[in-house]
Amino acid sequence: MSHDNDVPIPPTSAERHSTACRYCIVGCGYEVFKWPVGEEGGPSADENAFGIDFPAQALGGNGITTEMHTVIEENGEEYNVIVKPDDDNPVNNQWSSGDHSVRGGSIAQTLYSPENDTDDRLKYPQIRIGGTLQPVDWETAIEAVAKANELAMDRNGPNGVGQKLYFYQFVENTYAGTKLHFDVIGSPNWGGHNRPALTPENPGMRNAGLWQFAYDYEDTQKADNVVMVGAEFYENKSIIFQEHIQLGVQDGATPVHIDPRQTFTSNYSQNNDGMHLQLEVGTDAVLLSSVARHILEQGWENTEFIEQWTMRERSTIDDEGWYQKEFGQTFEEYQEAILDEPRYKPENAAEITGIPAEDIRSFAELIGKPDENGERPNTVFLWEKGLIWGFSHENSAALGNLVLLTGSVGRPGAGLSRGGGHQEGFWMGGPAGEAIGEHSTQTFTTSDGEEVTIAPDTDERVRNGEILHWHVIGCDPVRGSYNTQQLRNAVRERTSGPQPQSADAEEIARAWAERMDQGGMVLTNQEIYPRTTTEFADIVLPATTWGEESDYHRWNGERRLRQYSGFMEGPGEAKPDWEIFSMIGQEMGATDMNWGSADEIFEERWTRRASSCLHGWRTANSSGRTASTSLRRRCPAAAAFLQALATPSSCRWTGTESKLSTRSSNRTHRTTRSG
Amino acid sequence: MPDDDIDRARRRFLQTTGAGATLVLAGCSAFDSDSEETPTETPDPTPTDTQEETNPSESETDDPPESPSGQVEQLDAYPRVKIASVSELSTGDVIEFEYPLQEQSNFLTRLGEQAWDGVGPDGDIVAFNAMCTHAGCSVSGSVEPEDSRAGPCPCHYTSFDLSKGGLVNMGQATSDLPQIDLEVDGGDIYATYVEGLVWGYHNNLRTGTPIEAAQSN
Repeated sequence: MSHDNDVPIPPTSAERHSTACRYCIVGCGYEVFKWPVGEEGGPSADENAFGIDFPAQALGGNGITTEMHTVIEENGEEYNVIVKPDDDNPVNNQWSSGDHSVRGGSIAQTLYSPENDTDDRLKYPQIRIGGTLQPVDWETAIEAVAKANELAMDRNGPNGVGQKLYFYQFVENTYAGTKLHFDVIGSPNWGGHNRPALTPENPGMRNAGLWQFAYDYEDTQKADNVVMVGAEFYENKSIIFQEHIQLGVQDGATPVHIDPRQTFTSNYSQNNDGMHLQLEVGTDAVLLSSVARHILEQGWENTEFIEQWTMRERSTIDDEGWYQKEFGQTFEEYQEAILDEPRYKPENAAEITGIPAEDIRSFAELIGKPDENGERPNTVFLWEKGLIWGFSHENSAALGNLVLLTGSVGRPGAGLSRGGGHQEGFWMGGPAGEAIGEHSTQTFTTSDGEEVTIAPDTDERVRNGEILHWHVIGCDPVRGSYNTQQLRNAVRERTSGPQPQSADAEEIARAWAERMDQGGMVLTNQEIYPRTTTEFADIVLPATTWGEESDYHRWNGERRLRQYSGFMEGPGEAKPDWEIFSMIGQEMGATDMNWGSADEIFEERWTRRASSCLHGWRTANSSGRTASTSLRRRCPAAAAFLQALATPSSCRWTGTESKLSTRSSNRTHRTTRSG
Repeated sequence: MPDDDIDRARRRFLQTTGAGATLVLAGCSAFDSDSEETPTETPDPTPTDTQEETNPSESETDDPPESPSGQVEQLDAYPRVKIASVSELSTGDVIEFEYPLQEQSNFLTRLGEQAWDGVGPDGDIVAFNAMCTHAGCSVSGSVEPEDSRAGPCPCHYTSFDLSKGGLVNMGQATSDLPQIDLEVDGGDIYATYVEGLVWGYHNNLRTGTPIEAAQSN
């Protein structure tokens, strides 16, 4: 059915579901309308489910495009589905109504339909038999996964099993997956979709004591300065830019873009009385520390905030743990380090960063200098991959130090947050700290010579043979990891040994045991589409996704909890991820994973959860439209300044930053154990 | 955010359709960082204001009632309508016209370079609907024939390539700017069809007064 020049209007009888965007961290509100093909509403307000008169009004949030419509099939019946922006939701309705990005505006095109490009979804469980993936029933597939776990644990204990799982695809699924891995199996070998170990992505921020989502979008409308670091807001976080940041700039906020690239956001900043600090790649920590030096030299630091909120005694910092002892500083130590380092003099920093000294001073004045009444500027700091996926600790610590120095947290119009990426949908379901503490085979030597156990790099353990069964869910590590080619070669080689010659359970166990004894590995891939990792998989488990069957939750970049409605069936025999984890767990003997729905998982976690430090929650009512309650818990612990660039010979300059990415695991360890 | 804050934000927008003015400044300058020009004209970001008055829901039936004036009430097919002559259209000219319904505003232009589905001796005459396919604001005030571009749209900066069928080359729109099919016959340019859905409509031929009927009036 072609709808190039027209799109059907939902009748008043259409099913209506409230949900949120399947894509980025902004988490815009969306609505889904579903009704049988053949029925159609009329163009006047009383004849259609939108309750509007067509044609729709510009900026009114009710225009429907051909990309917002698709036709799906369920039980042999065809249904129209429209996925359109919610025209009454605070995230995407500030300047205009129902605003959407190019991503959110085309969600309907991603829905499974046998009639379009989504037809290559995985539909049936498969096992590689005689070298080729063959469809099997769920019972056989789940028995095979449990058998692979058993064989791996017989040979190498819990360390024989590895799991690689997304951090974002709804709290119910990640809770069930990590419960299987850390509780039922008890393995320390866990990696997220974008990194090989259970480590923070912003170690500097977290170890400075700052929560990485500490603002409301609305704060950008009230700010004096909006500082955007290593991120392109118009293209990638479009609705925060269009519906929030722009309103702040119209009201006089100064936009500052710190990025080596000349992009829309940098042009916008330059042309709206702001700045584009187009620094040399990789020099963020020098630039930000140079800004800090000028603030300190001028005496603009927020003394009141520093005295109230940061650790003043060396002994307090040392008591926090080895990581803080290694990197934490008192304000006095920090001040001394910044003022003693000649590279942080603006003139010297200018040579390293390519940013003129006068611009470094201007930026410092913008965010640091109190006005004639002693009022301090309110600054929102937003950053993303350009900052954190370089020299992660140094860069994020240097920015965290600036946040502390200016006291830019805890008041309207100020704050800090990530500037991109996925929504947050990770709930820990098992005792990760214990599993890592008891079984991890990776350690780090501190400057005191102390050996500390840290979260293991699972990619390395796939390559070195420690992991004998690798369960990969919703990500494609052989196509996107660090040192990807080497990982792919290892996976290819380690899965190419003995192959089962039939789907008989004993034959499968025989072949895989033989393979493991030869140094090989069994690979399970739980996915929605076949990807490169699937090519090497021994077991393929087809999963459902956004909008299919289950209701889900996760939260956006301002900690607003988003509710997701299931409104259609998945393809073939595909099952929700949580249900697949549940079946594997029960096959392995777990008695506390027999959930009847995703809601039961949410209840289980919510009722026993002790919230993380500085981890605020905002919940929405059942329609997902308005924030109705605010449950904020604050951690009593104080913040600490961090060494951002310790010595000229630090890791920052020798390029061994991969070590740094695993250093902070002690923190994770401690947090998860206490949680 | 409480509802009253949302209302406040909306009022702020509505009070200042001049919010458009600020954004136009921001949009144009954001697109071209080297430009020091300050746009003096402010495209109206809500060109469809008048649709409220002309929304003839009563005309939308399969079997239209007989019109008192005898005009066509509803289109069953795209009409062939003369919109200009090749000889009076120079490179860089922009002519606005409505087609196939009143309020469906389009623009005709001559790019000076061959374009997809361009007509005329050089294949450089093209026409497009003027409503941005993202949120329905008009791009007619930001047509730049010398760059073969329409946009950035004054509302959210989407920009379209007029030499490549209205392809989105920046911004949030998910579909191309609808291109008006043209024919040249005896030196005259005729509009014959619209390729793509005009924003805000569920069907290009419905919920409006046909332009032919208006002309014959």
